[in-house]
Amino acid sequence: MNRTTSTKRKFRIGYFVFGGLVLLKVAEYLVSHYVRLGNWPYMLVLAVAGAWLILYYYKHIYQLWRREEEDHG
Amino acid sequence: MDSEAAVKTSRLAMNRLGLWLFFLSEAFLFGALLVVRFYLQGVKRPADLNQLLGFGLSLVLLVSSLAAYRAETFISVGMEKQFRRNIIFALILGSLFIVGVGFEWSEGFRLFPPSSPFGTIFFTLTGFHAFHVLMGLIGLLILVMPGQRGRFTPSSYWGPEGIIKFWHFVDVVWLFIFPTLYLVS
Repeated sequence: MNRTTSTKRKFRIGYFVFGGLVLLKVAEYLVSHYVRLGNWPYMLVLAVAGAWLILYYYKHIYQLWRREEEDHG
Repeated sequence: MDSEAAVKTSRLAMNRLGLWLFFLSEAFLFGALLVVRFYLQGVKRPADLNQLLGFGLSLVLLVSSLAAYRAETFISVGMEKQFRRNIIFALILGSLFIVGVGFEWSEGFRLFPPSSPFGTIFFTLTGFHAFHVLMGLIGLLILVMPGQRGRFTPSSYWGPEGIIKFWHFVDVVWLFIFPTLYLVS
């Protein structure tokens, strides 16, 4: 994969993840309005899903156990 | 790989590991504070809490995270101008977040004073988080100082990477604080 394609792909991933995070936030907000009692398990699942998206795609947690070819030194 | 490149790669791996261990220790700290919320209040929350403001603050942080991600991607290919532009955008949004928290505090002092159980946990959690946001803002500001121009290259940008990772961390923490304080019932 050449550099330009790889960069475009990274941007695309960034926008998709952002869209996913906004959807999760909206879902949280709606759940709090429609499930008035005992909604914490839903909140927990939605928050963990959002955190995973950021940890994996934005913070690149996989770099801890995987080296990328284009890694800067 | 020559020996110099191997040393640089190994140093980068150690830097990343150290930063992640720092995140882990911070996660324990915030985790403990979140548990305190349920210990003191269960899932009760004041009815007049401004949920919409909390939701707006979440969106502001999410957009700033996207700007930080874009900045990191730009610097990884040497596009410094775009990198700086995105960092400045993240800085503006982070400042907006702080202003929003300040507004929420001014309302909070009236609705649930810090001496009340909910006030105690609300001001501790949001204050501690806002302090982290402030630290992130200082980091971002350092990245766009005139003296840093031309310093980061596609082959060496650990400074921006570390600060941007920290910026994402404060976003992750808010992902848990927002539902814990504003939404659970």
